[in-house]
Amino acid sequence: MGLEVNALNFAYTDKQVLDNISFEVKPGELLGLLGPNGVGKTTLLKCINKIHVPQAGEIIVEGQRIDHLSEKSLAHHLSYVPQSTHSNFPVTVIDMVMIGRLPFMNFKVARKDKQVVFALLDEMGLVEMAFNPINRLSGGERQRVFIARAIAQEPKVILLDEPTSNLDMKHQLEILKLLKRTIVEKNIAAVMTVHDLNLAGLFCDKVLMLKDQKVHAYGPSCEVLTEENIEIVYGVKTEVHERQGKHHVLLTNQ
Amino acid sequence: MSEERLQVAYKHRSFKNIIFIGACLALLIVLTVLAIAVGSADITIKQVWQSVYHFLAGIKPEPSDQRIEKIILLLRMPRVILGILAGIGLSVSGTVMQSITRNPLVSPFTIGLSSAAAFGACLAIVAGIGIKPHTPFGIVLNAFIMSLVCALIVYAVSTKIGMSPEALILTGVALSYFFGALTATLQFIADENQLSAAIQWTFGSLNGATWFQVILLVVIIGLGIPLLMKYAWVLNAMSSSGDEFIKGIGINPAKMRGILGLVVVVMTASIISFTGVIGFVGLVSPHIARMIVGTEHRVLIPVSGLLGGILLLVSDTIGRTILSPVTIPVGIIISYIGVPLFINLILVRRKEYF
Amino acid sequence: MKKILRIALLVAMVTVMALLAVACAPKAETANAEVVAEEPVAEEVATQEELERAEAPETIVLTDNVGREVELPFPVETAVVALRYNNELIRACGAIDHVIAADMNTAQDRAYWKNFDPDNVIGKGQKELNYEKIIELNPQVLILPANGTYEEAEDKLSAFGIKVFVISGYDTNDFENQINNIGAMFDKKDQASKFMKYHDDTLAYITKQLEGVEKKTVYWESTKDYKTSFPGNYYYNMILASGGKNIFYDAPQGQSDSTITPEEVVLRNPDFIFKHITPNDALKGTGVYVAPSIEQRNQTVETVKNRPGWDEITAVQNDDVYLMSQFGHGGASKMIGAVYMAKWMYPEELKDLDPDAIFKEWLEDYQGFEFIDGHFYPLTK
Repeated sequence: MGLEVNALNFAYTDKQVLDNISFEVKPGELLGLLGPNGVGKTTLLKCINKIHVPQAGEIIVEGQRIDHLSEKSLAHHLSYVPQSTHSNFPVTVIDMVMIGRLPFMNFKVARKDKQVVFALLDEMGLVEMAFNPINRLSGGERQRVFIARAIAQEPKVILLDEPTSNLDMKHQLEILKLLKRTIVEKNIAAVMTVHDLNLAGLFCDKVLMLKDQKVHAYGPSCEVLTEENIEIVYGVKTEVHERQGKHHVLLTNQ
Repeated sequence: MSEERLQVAYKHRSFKNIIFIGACLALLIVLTVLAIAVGSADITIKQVWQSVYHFLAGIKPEPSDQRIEKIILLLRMPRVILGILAGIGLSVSGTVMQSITRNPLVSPFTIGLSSAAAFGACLAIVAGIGIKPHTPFGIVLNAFIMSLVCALIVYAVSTKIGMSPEALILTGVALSYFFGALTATLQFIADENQLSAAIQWTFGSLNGATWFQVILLVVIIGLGIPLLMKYAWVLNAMSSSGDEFIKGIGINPAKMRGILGLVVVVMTASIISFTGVIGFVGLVSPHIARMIVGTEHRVLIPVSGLLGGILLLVSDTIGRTILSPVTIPVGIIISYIGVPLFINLILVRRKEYF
Repeated sequence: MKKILRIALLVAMVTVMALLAVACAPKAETANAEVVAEEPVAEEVATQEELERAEAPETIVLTDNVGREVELPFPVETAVVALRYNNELIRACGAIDHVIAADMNTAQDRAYWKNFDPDNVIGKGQKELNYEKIIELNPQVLILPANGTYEEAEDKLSAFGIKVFVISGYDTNDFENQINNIGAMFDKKDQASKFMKYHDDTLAYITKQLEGVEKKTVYWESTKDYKTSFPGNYYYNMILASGGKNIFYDAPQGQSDSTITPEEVVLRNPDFIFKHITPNDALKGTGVYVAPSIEQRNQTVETVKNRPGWDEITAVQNDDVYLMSQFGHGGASKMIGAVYMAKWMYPEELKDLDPDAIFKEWLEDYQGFEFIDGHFYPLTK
């Protein structure tokens, strides 16, 4: 099951953004979407999320084509973690995570909803600050809240838009470890856009590199993260070393 | 272990909130009875009960009591209740407006309703244009219709540009200025006497309260608020997250803004068509409520409504007693009371809020 | 590139100079040029003094409504006047021919102020004057009320030799001084005296007849609902002059906003209710000289009577709710309003008082108009 994307085409009125994109993410796998800014990574996520409607191709979530699903039904299978932002109102952590249960709730918060949310808060280490407004949390803590919210939806596929971009090193590692552990435990297929190639190398099972609207390279990260691919896609010379089965990317003088 | 702690804390919070709602309700009822008794005539609370009882039981009062009972039943009660309804309606509208635009500076008038209503009233008073323009009923109707016209324009324009929070706010502000200019033009060519009538309308007053207005507002608000409460979780989502996340949860933010906005428009337009423009309460009650009970709309909506009702009731009561027989417009008193209250709360809770 | 810039600059300069030239060109004479009265030539041999006097134009110093001592040319031949009441008073003193232009608030009443051209006004009203227009008209004096921008006007017009004199037609307290001023400055002392006598005698008659009579209580309301008058207010004084007692006699003095609650009126239970009314069509240029329609009058009376709880009020029970038009009440410095109210309240004591006749006299003799019905309603029973 998981996520399957076949021959996806997407264009804004006159500009082609995505051409013949195909890939697949199995439950428990983390796929990293790579490519320079503006290449269409976020657009691709938005196509999967039904925010954009692709001109061609099919997107299959848990065995169902998403164009056959309503937004509401899709919300039961797929959740989305946007880039972390400040809130204009003092929403507490627990209220924020509870919003993830919206596809299941009408008015009352059922026992099941509470069970799911409380358990998640515990797993994500958010219990101490559960009743604090999220603006008071650190960037890393806030990111955990948004991930918890997405998981509260009990999805089978989760999309994350640059979940680590605003975090310091320590929190970047923390978040991705947590994410990885969670998706494996709960059998969730995850796709995330990421800039840091090292993080991609360390945590992503698969990697997809976009260039010029097309898939330039796709496959297990230990195969795809090569100096040639990086130079072609990013226009940057690097040295790639393998350590303990993972690829590490070193920047060099150009 | 910690899950149990959360369970307890969550329950505790719900409990606290319900108690607070109950307390507000009780306070409101007490203040209502007091407000009915307070005024130029020396009326005791006993007399208030008596009047109500006589009315309900169909008993004719003693001739010496007749005037007082008439004052209580026909003048005080509708005025007090209208004030409460206006406070509730405007505060709930303000809460919803702030939530669907994710903007704490927004009020029910941000999309231009107050300027449009003032223009509608002015058009009737000064130019005699509209339906039955020279009757009190006509002025109300024209104000209401013009508010709807304004809302329609805002919706039409915003929908074309995506019905985002910014679209609503910017279009609303622009229309606000536009209707303001139209009104100013009318006032410029008006006869001086009509001019003062037109200007006075904008200040907001409960002087003309009637039972008909009360009943109408009870119906509108009585239908509107439960409808808004039904969408409490949608409001929770819309106020805390961006449109993209919201779509991912299965909500259509544009459609929701349309529906919820419409309820706000109808409630607000009805209220201000009767009372004139009473500002500030729709902006500040939601904030005061949020500082006390948080952002969860199932609690926030009732609390901000109750706080708004109390605020308006107290303001009007002060306004009509402090310098008796002069009445100070309710909008002025609200600012004098509301602003210090608001600033005090900000200073006390600043860390949590900002 | 540089060449193009230079040419552009040249063109810009020429354009600017052309515009300046047009703007500064002397305007064609449009205002009526009034012939300045010549000094009467002395028949005897002129003394040195008389010669001097004959050469220097005569002036007169008067104290205006706000206490300013202003030196005016004597007599004033050309004036521009803001405020309807002012124009009325000047016309009552027979000097209206000297007013060459008025404000829009006056001129918009095409029937009552036929002599003024709405295209030739000095501004909307006393607070928004068009100084350029006034300068263009070149009167000797600008007359405007105290709530107008007279200091600003003084500032702008003194350089052009135009005097600013404050007359506030609505200020009934200063009636005598103002009528004297009008009579003096326009050299219409006789007519002014006649007018003053007409005003003073009528009011004196009322006061005399009502000596020792118990006062009736009055609730007075302006065209705006629930806005009444408090002590110190001109409307309050009008009620005093009519022999009535305003139920809000205990309100603070000098309060500008006098909005009350409806229950106050029920509590204070007035004998009479007098409400002001203004025709709905005032905007369309018919002006307020036209009386409000019978439908509007009836509707207004009904609305007042039907206010919740007001059926408890004596005035409502006795059908003693009367209307005065904003136009009508103000005649002869609110004397007309006082007269009607007095007659409504004290028909027995004031048998010889005929308000319609007095109003007729005001309209016909002092304003040159036909009596018009409907400004006071309902008429005395």
